[in-house]
Amino acid sequence: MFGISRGFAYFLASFKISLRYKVNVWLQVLGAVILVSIQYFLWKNIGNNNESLLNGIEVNSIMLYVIFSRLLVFIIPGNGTTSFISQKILKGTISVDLLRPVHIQVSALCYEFGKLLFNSIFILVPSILLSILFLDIPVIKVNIDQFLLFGLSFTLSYLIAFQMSFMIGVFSIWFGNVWGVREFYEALLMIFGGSLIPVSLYPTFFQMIAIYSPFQSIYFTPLTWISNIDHFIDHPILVQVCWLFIFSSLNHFLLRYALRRAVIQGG
Amino acid sequence: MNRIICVKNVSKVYRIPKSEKGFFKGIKSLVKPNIVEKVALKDVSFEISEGEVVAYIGPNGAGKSTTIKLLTGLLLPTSGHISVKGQDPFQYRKQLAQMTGVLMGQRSNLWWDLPLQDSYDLLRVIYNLDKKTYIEWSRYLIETMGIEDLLSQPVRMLSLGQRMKAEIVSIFIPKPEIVYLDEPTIGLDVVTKQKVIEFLMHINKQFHTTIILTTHDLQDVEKLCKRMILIDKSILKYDGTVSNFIKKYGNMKRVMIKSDSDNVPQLPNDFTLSEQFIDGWEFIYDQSRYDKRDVLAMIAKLENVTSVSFKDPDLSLIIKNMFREDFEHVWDQ
Repeated sequence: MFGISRGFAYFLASFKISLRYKVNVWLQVLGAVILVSIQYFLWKNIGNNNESLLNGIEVNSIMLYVIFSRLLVFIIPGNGTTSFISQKILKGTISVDLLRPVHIQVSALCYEFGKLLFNSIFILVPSILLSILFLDIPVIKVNIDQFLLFGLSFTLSYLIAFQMSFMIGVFSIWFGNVWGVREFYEALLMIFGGSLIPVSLYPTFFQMIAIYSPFQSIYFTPLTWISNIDHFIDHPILVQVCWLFIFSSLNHFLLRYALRRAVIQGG
Repeated sequence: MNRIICVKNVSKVYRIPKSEKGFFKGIKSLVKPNIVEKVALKDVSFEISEGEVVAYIGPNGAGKSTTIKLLTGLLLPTSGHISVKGQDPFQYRKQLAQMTGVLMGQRSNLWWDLPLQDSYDLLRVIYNLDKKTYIEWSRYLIETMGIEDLLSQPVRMLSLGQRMKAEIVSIFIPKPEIVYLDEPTIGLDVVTKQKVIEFLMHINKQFHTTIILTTHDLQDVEKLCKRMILIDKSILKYDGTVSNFIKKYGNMKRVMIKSDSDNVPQLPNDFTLSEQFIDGWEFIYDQSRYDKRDVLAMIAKLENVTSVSFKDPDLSLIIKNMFREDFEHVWDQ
């Protein structure tokens, strides 16, 4: 369906290519543990200074949130997806993919799945184990419903992030190099998406903007399920579904228009 | 033979926004872009039958790559009609991709970081090929091209010639019915080029694969193709057999003059200097205007000439001179 079986080749390619760069893996695990440690000690200190509640949220919840947000950065689609499409546009190799019997978006998504599997096995799991082993990470009781909702919410956030990063990649047709757009997107993700700290810690004004932005659906919404932080919007998963629909549709139309322009360039 | 490609009165006009210099003009062009129209193809028509090997030739910017993009469904023609296997390639691009192989210049069909064998295996998945058939077919292609030793090497470690051989094999992995090769022998040494040409000839003879080849190397054309389509300045100039082309436009003769002197021999204006060598010059002239004896008489008057020889024109000479403005009168006759 949708060429997924043919796209499996891109999944395999991505996984095999990642396997060939093993040194990177160990350094990335080390980097992840360092990032987690920074968050851990920062929030532990805040907690020790009698600040057991911040904006009505327990420090332990925030600590869990920020630690997992650092780890999700390794698996949520971002720069890799943008580069996948933007480099092909800039180098003109997009025509090779367009001349295969697989939709370009399916191939990009399958390629991302390959990285997801690799990063989950070789970066996420070791980083979580090392963090649990060396740091006194708080354990919050999460019931099975919350855990399942986290799974569903994470899947949606993964797909929204994919669609948004893919769209930035397509912008290469007009902007050439898109690192500026990419940086801007990362900044918005930090402030309105809660990739750095929970959106609930911001002043009300920022929270209001975050509510109406798609960014909170990427990090904040899934993480609230496992850190017991209030979602501050009704039906957060429904909101995610809406954003996914909006960005998928936008990409559908954008691609139809943009790829015609992309293949004109060069002989 | 069945007609497999039909191009009827096809034109392609690119509409390119012209960038303006200066801040305010730049802002203005964002609101109201200044669009420039560039004609890439003008009223081109041809048909290609199953199993044909056709050379599609012309100078840079003539519209060769545009034609391939139109035939593969990457671009939509501005006017006219294209059908490949009875289908509109733009509308049925993915369906046609299953039976089409395309090599576009230096754009790789392989995965740079993976061993060559892995790339071929991945193509099997993309084209949904039966495993047993794939193993037999890929082994056949690999042995025919002689690249067995390269299979375990990552593609990025291959030399240009090795990579091009590997790329060509990859194009044939899905057993395509139609193959478009955009400059497949560019930058290759003589031995590799010969191997590639032999491979293509072999596949065409054995499996009747239709091959459309764009190239600047006219020796390849003479070896591989019976038919050629010549395009220049977006217009189709010739469509027919290579031998007829040479007959039709080959009323030129080449004369090689070797001399001890460094000065270019002075001959009438309609003798065109085609090539310069360390010890001589090659001129071309119109046989209908000058008899061989007249030419020899003119050369006899020159000083320090050590030898004279005459040669028939080959395809490359004809094409080379076809695009020279000072020789255009020959083609307008």
